[in-house]
Amino acid sequence: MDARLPALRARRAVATLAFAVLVGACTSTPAATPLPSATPLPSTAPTAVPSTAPTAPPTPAPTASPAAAVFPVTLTDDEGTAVTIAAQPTKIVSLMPAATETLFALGVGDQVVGKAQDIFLYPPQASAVPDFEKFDNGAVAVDVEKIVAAKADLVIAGGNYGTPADTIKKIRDLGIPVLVIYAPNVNGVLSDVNLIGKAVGKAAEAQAISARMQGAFAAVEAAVQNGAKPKVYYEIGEGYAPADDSFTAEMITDAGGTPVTSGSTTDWSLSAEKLLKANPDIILLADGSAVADATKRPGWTTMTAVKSNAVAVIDDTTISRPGPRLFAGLELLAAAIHPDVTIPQASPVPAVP
Amino acid sequence: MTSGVATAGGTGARPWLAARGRDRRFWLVLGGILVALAGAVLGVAFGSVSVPFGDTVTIVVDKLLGTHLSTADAATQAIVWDLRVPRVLLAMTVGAGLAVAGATFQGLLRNPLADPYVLGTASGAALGAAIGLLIPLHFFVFGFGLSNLLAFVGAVVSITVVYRLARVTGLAPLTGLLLTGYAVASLLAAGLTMAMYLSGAALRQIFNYLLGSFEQASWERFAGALPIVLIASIIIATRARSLNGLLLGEQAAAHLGVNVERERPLLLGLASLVTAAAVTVSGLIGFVGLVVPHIVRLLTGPNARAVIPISALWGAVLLVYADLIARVVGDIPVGVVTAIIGAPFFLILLRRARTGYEL
Repeated sequence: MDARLPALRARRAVATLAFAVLVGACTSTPAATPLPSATPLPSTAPTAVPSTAPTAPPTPAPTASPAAAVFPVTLTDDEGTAVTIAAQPTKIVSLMPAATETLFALGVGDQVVGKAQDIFLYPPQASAVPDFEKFDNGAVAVDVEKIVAAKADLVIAGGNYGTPADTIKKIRDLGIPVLVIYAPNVNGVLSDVNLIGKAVGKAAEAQAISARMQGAFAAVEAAVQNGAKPKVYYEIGEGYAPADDSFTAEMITDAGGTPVTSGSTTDWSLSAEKLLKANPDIILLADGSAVADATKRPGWTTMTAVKSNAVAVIDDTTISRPGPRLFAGLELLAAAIHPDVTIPQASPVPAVP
Repeated sequence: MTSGVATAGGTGARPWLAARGRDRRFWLVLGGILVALAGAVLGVAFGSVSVPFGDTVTIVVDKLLGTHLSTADAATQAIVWDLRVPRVLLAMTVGAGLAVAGATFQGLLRNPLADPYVLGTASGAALGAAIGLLIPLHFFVFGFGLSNLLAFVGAVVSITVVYRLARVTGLAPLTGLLLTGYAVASLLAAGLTMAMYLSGAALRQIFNYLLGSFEQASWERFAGALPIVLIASIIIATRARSLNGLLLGEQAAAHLGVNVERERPLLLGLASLVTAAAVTVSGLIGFVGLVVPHIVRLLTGPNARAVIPISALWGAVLLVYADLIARVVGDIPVGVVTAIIGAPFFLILLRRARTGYEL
């Protein structure tokens, strides 16, 4: 906690609020806790944790007690479905690598019993969690039997076809609550951290993390906002660029660049002709292409980026994964777009097992 | 685009079908050349970025004659000269090659369903390309990456294996070749499925290869494919007499003075080489090699002397227009376009064919 406090200072109003929440939760002074659940706390606490109530000391454990008071909770997920979670989840399955990161950052990593296969595994502690979902021949294959066998009490799934819709229905039909997460933009990532936090009884921690992320975003944006806005081609694959208004396009804009987009909100392909015409100032290869190979493609020598040696390889995972490390992706992107500007580096969100 | 193909192909004009073969051949050649030239002009003039026609002309003239008429910026010049011109030329080369290879395989194997991929070439090339994409080794030799080189190797190796295996079966030569080809292709397809299963992030690239595309066209690729396709096609065309003889059966061919033992492997090898060159530069483009030779045969009769060169011409025409449509509409695989514009046309011809059509 101490390491986080300096980073929280001098943030905007949201950060300050979250700071108050965090301090309130950690110091467990009931009067200072602005949690909305403060009022029903006395009435529900005995019924929610009947077994621990007699043995519990007069001053209850800091985080467990307010969290327990929250349940049962009904949350609206990113697909608009009302999801009711009866009690604080203890066996969580994450079908999204980004959600796995969020859960570990929230400190409930030890309650994650199954996860989606993650080839860019993060955090390292998650390697102990078995894969319940594999990327199988171009399709996502979720092992529902394993979810049932693990007695999961909360499943976090990916929206926008991240997890197949029929799989989500199947799990719900089995009586297991499924929270579907899909962030169409950066704000969506922040609200998803909070949504997952509420679902696992870690609302205050989630507020703190999203505030840290927001603060880090604001710091990067402030550093680059007055500079030039070079045209950036972010290569997702050869012939593929971010779609208009897409998450990646927003990240490039936030990092102080002007994204070269596909010209469509749904189609991500960008023909070589359109790319040459767009004449980007900076080319970031996020698809594993090597700079030496890419610059040999037909006509590329005419582009400003190639002429000025502004072609670089960049790590796509931190930039495009909608999880708690997203600000690090923005910092990476901003540093690549503005090599002459000192980009503020926020300390990473620690993964608590 | 479709009207250009239809008019010159002669569907609309019944008298053409009734006309004598030699006249029809004349019109098919003349019409094919004109339509191909028009296709080349359209292919260079249109794309996903609009370039004024005057700029297109001056850029091409500048590059060909070394003049400095064009005032267009470097990007526009690169779009026209480094992207579109090699793309059009490559589409024509591949179209011509696939049609010649298809006509040769159909004649050699006396099988109307034979296409350039019939003896496992496609599966071998696809498996090679997939393996090339899975190996994290990036290098380019003369514009060709590892996957291209392995595709070529895969195609050549698979046809060699099929031919060798077929020779040791006790079956009649043609049956043995077709069945061996089918068996080897199935085995390779299983390997491809496994490679795709294991591919993860490279899956899209493998899939793109299977669909075929000219998106990667470049002068280097054109320069790599052209000599193989051109030389092999010319040799095949000069062997038209052998092809005609083999069409009648081995014994008849031998009686006509065709050295069957020498000519068959030679023609098979040449057609396979053309196919391998085509799949290396453009991926697997279906339909052209199967249907163009049939269309030509329906219109001119089965004489290989006419079928081979006219198929080459119309194969080039079909692909140059199909690629143009794929580019202008955006993000459609060229193989889908060839089927959409070629299949109805083929069906119309089949309906109108009066006499029994045979190879």
